[in-house]
Amino acid sequence: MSSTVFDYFTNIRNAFTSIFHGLAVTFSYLFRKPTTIQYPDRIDTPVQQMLPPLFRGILEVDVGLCIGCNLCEKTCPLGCLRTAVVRDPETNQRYITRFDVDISKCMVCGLCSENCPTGAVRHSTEFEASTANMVNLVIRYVKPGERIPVHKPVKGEESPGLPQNEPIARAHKEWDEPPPVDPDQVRGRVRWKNDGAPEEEQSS
Amino acid sequence: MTQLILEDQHGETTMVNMGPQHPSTHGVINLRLLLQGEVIAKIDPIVGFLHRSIEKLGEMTPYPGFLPYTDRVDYLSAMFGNQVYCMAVEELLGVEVPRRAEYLRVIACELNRIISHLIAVGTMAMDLGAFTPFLHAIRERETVNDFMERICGARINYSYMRIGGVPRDLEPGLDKDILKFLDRFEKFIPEFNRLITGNEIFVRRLIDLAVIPAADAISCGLSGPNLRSSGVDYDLRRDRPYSAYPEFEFRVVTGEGYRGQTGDCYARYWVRIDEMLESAKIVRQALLGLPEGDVKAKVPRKITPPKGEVYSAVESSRGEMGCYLVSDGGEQPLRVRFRTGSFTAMTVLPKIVPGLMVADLTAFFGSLDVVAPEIDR
Amino acid sequence: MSDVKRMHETLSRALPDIPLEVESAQAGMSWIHVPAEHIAAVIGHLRHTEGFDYLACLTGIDTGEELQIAYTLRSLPDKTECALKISLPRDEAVVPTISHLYGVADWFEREVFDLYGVHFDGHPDLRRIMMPDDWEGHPLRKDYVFPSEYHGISAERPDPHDLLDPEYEACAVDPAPKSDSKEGSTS
Repeated sequence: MSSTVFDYFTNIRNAFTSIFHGLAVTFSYLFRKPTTIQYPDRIDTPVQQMLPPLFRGILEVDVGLCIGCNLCEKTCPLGCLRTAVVRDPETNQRYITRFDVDISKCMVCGLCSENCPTGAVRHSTEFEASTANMVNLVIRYVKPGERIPVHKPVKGEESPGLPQNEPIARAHKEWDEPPPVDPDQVRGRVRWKNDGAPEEEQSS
Repeated sequence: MTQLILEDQHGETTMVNMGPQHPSTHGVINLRLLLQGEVIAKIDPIVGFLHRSIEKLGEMTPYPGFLPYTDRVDYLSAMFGNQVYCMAVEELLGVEVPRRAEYLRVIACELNRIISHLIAVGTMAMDLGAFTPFLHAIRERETVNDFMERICGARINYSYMRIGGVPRDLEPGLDKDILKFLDRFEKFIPEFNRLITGNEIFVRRLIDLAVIPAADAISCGLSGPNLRSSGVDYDLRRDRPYSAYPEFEFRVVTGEGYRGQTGDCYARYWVRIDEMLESAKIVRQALLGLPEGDVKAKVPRKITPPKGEVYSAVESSRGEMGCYLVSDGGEQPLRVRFRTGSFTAMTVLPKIVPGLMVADLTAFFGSLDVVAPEIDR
Repeated sequence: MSDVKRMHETLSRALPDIPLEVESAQAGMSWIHVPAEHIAAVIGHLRHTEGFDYLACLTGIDTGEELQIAYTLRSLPDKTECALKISLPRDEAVVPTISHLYGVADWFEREVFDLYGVHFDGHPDLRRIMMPDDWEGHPLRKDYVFPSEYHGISAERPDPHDLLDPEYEACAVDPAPKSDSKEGSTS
């Protein structure tokens, strides 16, 4: 391509100068603040707390607010949710007997939480939920055998909904067979310093 | 180039499988090459490894429920999949999207275009052996990903748009943060250019390589940056107006006027760099002129569009993304078809590649910015 | 809309032997219906004389009764669009190819062949593109039966919800309350 000797040397000079231009940019980054963080060990606050409130993580259900309308189950394109409502024929009171969320299928699209009229179904900021057994990824918000009366919203009053970014009580999320998994496993395998025990694990 | 093949013909040809697991194919694509020496005599792209039958799923899912699947058509620019599907259903339903929602869609889409092009230029440099630019591109991309997270709650698979608008308004204060980022981003691009674009070795590697003539580009259905870099001045945002794009001023970047020939790999690279700046311009205009009003039109919960067909198309970051939607009046579409830029970009390979070296194929393939899941869907 | 009608008039004048009709449904766009055997001639005319240089989309549709192929042509300089459609019988669907007119039609037609089983007459390299070569059936047809396995790999996995069903059934102590999903639809 270079026809003359002059072109030949110009090319060599251009190659060198342009490389130095690039290296100057790289060099300048030696004196700038690093942009990377070391996940998950050496950060001050857990990532879960740094996420914006809109973040769509694992689904969370406050069964106490559920009115048993079944909308979430119908809107879910994948059938992640399975609910069951029974009615007591004497008192006409309706009870929720089952509220399972299969997070192994969930693609966190947000359609169910948007359609929930009371805000009982919502996304948490949890996202770490690896487990060895797929069945463990079915989170059960109602224990088998338990009957929770449906929520009756008062007309004209705003539904309280869930406080943003605050994990709800996980009392209903006990895992039975097989194998018993502690609820912390859903919160994430990585435990934070303020959780107490695992600090020794990290130092080892 | 053809001469080179003829000289090399000693009756010896080698068959090489480039892929399915090859770092430069950006996904699972098998390029079956017939080599004569180091020159490619014939190429046969084998695709379909990532076929997830999204179109069949569309026929089995109700209209609103199909939206999350449209993210997965092209995971690097999920917003466009959302938009093209929503536009198709809205056109069938006859729903008018509020103006504010259109503006929010434009903001989200153009931010998505920026981060998608950042990946494109970054990985292209990485394919040619320069790793640093990729990290710089990823750093900027992470910043935008954080904005995306604040706009819609997810970093990659956004599921942001809904039929009839967008589900929620911008978070207060987010517009100022985005504007601040755009100021920084416009300074980042010259720095990026100093880092790699002007690098003489990089330039010499790309100019005059794999020139796609305009006639071939049109015939092979190339679209988006690949079509424009061949000198064809066509942009769906301007020439087939949709959403709120007619209200913004932007330049349609074509591949003319850069070093080397129009339609070579370097032109394709430059078109993407310049398009990022144009997108930044559009985002700024949209944020500053954001109209007041609702963000979602009233749409029934059960969506049953009347019988009909519609073809909607948006200018995605990989070219024209089209959605051919056929409704039979039921709750589920009769047919959803996605026409994607990567699929048509693959058809140009058998025309252009014969005569190139294997190492040049990497550069050429990187410059086409093909995403494998988008080819297969 | 007017684009299609105008193009229909132009085409009927230029190709008087071919019966062309403008069709439309309740919503969306309208298209020109072309007899399947004449599609290559019509598109060739549009390509060479009317300047439709860009094939935007080619797709197959299975309505249940018949197969259809929709062509969306575009003229980049004039910024006009034209939609064409052909109908085919479900068995023995054969269409003349247009891959000599547009480079991209090569792959589009391979895709329609793969997913619908439409045979394109004169196509240079008609083979499967999305599915493996030894796949049986054409997946986007409405009568397609999903295979349960492929080369010994099962395509099904149990739904975790179903695995948990027995537990809930065992706990259904009270015989009187029965599950009422219909009751639940009041919102």
